[in-house]
Amino acid sequence: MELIISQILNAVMLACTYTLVGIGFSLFFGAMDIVVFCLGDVAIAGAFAIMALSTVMGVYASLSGILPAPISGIIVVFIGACFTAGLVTLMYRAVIVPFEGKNINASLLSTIAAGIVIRELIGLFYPEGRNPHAFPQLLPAGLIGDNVLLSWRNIIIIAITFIMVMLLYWFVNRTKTGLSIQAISQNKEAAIMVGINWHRIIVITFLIGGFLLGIGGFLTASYFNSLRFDMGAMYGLKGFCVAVVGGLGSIYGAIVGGLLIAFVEVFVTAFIPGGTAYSSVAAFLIVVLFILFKPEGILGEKTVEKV
Amino acid sequence: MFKGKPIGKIAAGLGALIFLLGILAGCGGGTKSQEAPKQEGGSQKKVVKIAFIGPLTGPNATEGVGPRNTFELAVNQANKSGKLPFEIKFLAYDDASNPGTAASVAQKIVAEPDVVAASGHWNTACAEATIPIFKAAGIPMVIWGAIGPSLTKEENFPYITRVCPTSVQENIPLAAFVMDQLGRKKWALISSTSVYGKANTEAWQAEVKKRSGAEIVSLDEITDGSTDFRPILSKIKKLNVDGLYYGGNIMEAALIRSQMNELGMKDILMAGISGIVSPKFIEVAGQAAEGVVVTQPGKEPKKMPGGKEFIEEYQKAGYKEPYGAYGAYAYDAANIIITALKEAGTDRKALADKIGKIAYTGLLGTTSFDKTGQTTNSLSTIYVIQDGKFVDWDESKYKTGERKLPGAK
Amino acid sequence: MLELKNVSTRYGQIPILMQVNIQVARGETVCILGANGAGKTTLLKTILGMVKPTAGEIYFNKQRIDSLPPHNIIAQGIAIVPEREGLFPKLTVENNLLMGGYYEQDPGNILARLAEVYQAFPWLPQRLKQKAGTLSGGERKMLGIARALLANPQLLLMDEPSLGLAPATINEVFNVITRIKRDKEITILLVEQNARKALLVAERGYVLQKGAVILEGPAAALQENEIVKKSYLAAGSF
Repeated sequence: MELIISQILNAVMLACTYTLVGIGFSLFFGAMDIVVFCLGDVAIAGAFAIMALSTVMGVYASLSGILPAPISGIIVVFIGACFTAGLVTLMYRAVIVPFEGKNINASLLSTIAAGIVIRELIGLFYPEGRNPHAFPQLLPAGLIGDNVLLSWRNIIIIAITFIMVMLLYWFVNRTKTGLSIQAISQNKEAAIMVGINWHRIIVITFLIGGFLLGIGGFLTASYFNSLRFDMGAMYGLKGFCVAVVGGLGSIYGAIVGGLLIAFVEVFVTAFIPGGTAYSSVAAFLIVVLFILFKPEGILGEKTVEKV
Repeated sequence: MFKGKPIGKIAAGLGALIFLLGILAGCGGGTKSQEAPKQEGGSQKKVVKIAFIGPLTGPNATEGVGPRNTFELAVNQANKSGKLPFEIKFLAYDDASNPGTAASVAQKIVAEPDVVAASGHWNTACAEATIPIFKAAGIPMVIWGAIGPSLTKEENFPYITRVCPTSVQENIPLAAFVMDQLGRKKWALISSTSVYGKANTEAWQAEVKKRSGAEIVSLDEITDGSTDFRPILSKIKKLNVDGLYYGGNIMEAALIRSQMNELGMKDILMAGISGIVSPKFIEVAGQAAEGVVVTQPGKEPKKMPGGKEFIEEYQKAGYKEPYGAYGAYAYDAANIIITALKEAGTDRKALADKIGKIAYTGLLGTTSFDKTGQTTNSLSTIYVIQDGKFVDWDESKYKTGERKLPGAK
Repeated sequence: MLELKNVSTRYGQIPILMQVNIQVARGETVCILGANGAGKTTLLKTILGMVKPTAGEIYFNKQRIDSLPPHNIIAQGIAIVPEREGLFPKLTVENNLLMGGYYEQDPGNILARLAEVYQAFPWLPQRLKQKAGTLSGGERKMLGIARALLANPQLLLMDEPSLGLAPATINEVFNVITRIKRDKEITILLVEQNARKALLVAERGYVLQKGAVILEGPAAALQENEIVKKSYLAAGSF
């Protein structure tokens, strides 16, 4: 029984790392009707930014001199997430805007290329970019009580994911800007006809999505303790799959999709002999099945041509 | 695929161009070529080139830079000695632990005029990729660090030789130590899906089979680059093993060790061969690294003939990085090539034959090759991580009993 | 209040509107008649700024608006009831309504207008929490009108209010339009295929055929006009 509980916990943690990236994919797809493929690399770039602030640039160290450590940590993560927001908006301007309204295949290709470019730029310009790095532990270590299952770090990761999702929910449903984002994704033309400034809302969507991705990258790097410049490729792919399974465009779908894929991966590894090698394969297989038989995902709706 | 509108075509073309540029940018990180400082006195000696290949960047970069430095040191020393009828130019190349990069680097080397010999690789997969290229070009390559057993075979001899022990040869003394001396019988095995990892899996399985009462109760293979081992470890936790053997590379080993402690498996011993030996392991695993048992090939240079001078010369040359576990191997590999060059001249075939027949005494002891090109000298030492450093077992606090290994009764 | 001067638009190489001249005075209700493909929806989109004219000018309250982005134009006091209701199907009826009042800062005004709208459409208050996509066709059309009214526009554009509706519902819709005209000071420009209904509710009209204005005049005159009678008032387009 204890084994099952610890595996469930492993799955939940893994799901947390996938959720924010999956939400990013759904958010942008809903607003723009295109899949922005470079989101995994953007999230990892955010994690690198946080790492840079914490190590190379010494910002964390100097802040810690003045403020208590947890506050410095929060500030550093916040700055990193803002950087990510800026990065993704810049990417939007550079790579998506030129093709807006024109050939959709060019947009998709260019976002794939953007991902490669971001990855390689990290490899080239970050000191020892191509080598793997140990990600600095900004989250407190230690256990709550004696139970191995309850580590501070895990609890905080789950809490942060939860808080981010709740904030997003509140924003999207209770603020005019948030409702505008929903409006644009439901009926772009009507949104413009109601007077919504489409361009401004899209930029806001990117800023928010980018911020979420930065946090997502931070949580992932913290959970795995390591950061490599090319982690973004797999991370983005998993995030995309999570969004598709949950329903592209649905924010809750990304959560459900994240849990489903994480559970499949963990349980294949844990309970099928020799399963480790096939955990990712099993996850991708689920995605393929969904695309074949239920392309709108678990919580999405029948807008098949969109996918 | 694209509609006929001209804008659409231009956009698609631009997209494809950006895509291609992105790919090219990705491939570009592969090669660096550096030269040894020129000899003073500038006499008109013939110039021959020797190429060094290793992971200078990438996930195992810490293992390649030290050997690159010692190789260069050997070449510089030889050039300075004035005893050579020619001048050796040292070329260093980066394989980034990536077989594709390694292959393209090898193509570059064999196309370079005046290259007479090469020495390469820490990663078995990279060596596998380049061996056919060097063989076809008739350029002898001495392997300094890749330990997959299948690399050296009769049909590759004498063009492909190796100065370091194979993984099989390394696993034998490790198994003897942990299974016989420490009495650990029940094992969990995690290894990587690479050729190197699979060779280790087989070797460890063979070692376990040799001993009645020893068994492997759990076997998992992961791909290099994986970062989450908690599902596997949670499963292993229930099995009450005496030890966990890891047969892959540095990053994954370090993450496994730290995640073991996270999951409350601090008291399970972790053992592995030289594939995980690196300061990076300690950096990433942090405090969890304490008490990990490993083997390193060879003995510490300071205990070997010529070792003290080697250490002094290395420091004097001003290299920032430590020479690492394989520095001595690259050094001896360089000197084997240089010695053979002196005796056989620059004809590649004669050089290869000479290397094959050589008996060279250096930092590793005496090296000579058997009919498959493998060194007959398979010295290795047991190390344990103590207070953030790799310490020779014989000199450690664990041997004296001052500290106890994880899981020690 | 609204003036289009020699406005032409095209889609790629294909001309849609050709030198269209239209005036709408404050307080008037003007209708534009035309068959499918005449360019009626494009005309409204051009006024809103969603399509940019290739020639000509558009003035609203004597200010030139044709080069402004849509959200600017709309903010000046123009609202549209789009052809296929233009609702947000997954948002609640309430939120759809509130989106109509996008530019209104004063919550007091919003409440006042909601009250007006509830008077005109008494069934709305019970449906506020329903998702807009679950309403019937007629209800959606009414919601579209209600939403546009929430904006308290000076100029209300309506794109084929009768489209796709059963005859009884069409009557309801035009009754609503009549009531709106009576209760508020509002200028309406409506575009319609159903000439009979449109000419009953408008004071003046234009006929648009293949992108050009071929007729204009007071509604009564148009009702008697031969071309109009033959093409737009004949059986089949009631």
